Amino acid sequence: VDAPVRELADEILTYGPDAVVQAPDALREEIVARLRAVVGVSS
Amino acid sequence: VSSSADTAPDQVARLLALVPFLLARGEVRLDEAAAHFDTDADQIERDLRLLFMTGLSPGLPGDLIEVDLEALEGERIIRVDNADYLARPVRFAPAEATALVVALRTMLDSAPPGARDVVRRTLAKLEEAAGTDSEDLMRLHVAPTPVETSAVVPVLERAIAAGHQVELTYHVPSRDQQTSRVVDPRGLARVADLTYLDAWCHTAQGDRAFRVDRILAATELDTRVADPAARPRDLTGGWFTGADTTTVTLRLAPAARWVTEYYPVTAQRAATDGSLEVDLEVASEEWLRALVLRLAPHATVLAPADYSRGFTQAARATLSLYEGRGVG
Repeated sequence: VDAPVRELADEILTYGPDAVVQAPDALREEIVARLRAVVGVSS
Repeated sequence: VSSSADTAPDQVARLLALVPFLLARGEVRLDEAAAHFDTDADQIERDLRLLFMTGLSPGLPGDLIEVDLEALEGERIIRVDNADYLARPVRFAPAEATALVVALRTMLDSAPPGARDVVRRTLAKLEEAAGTDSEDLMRLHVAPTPVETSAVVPVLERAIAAGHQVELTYHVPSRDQQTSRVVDPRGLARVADLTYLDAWCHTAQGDRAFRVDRILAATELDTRVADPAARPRDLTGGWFTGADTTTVTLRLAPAARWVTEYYPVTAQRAATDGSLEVDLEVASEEWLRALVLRLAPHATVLAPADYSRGFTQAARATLSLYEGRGVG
């Protein structure tokens, strides 16, 4: 994952359910992958 | 910038030791250096690639430490050059020496009597050494801070020593009001750059800390404090310790170890898997949740259990918003 995507995901994740990424897909996928890892859901 | 397995202080400490180690030996095998510093060859290689961009100002090619990358990548041998200056004693630039002199002169005004002689001798040595440079120290007069010249500090110190109550006139900035109150003083404490009077306030009926620079007047009373045995609170760790905070234990994977450099952790324990368990004082569960979400999935809340559940619920709620849209 590109560093800018990862860093933006860091920032957006802090808002929890109050912020949802609409686009780009790479950012959405990064956030989903990280949240799945937290809640123990395999992709 | 540190590697994922290291904190920046770890890496800087190793780099400072690595250069003299390499200079003393001429050339060293990568695995030998790794064994010496109790780390792996990949880490040493990352250190060397950082070292490669390090050197003297202004950082032109001739100023930087040279690392023979061909030898490193080919024979796995380390050779460094243009780093001899690291073996020489450090000299202060005039601006650096001046900054130290200013700091020491400030300390002279505020240091306890027993420490003043040490400060004076250090100051004299520094001024003598810096004065031999072609460019002399800037001559500065350092004015004592308002706290050091405060008329109320001696009154407070006397009252604390005698166990007497004090009547304060205090400025409350949030209401822009002057209040008058009687307190049982316990001690003066320095937190960050400010001095506080730690006391029991009879008006508020509770422990209060009064910023000394906001105490407009103080009068020592003849009345004794209610509890002469009461000791000042330990504020050496700052304000974020005590009844208003919750001790939270986190497990941090290597990628999240930067937390220990960024936030004041009160304890840390290394685990055998390379992760770190840390305790920190948290005043807001929401703040913690945002931090751990940012670190996801490299941090886990171990305790307290309700914080852990709250974090998992927040992560699940967030994920459901994405999965509800068919993403992922």
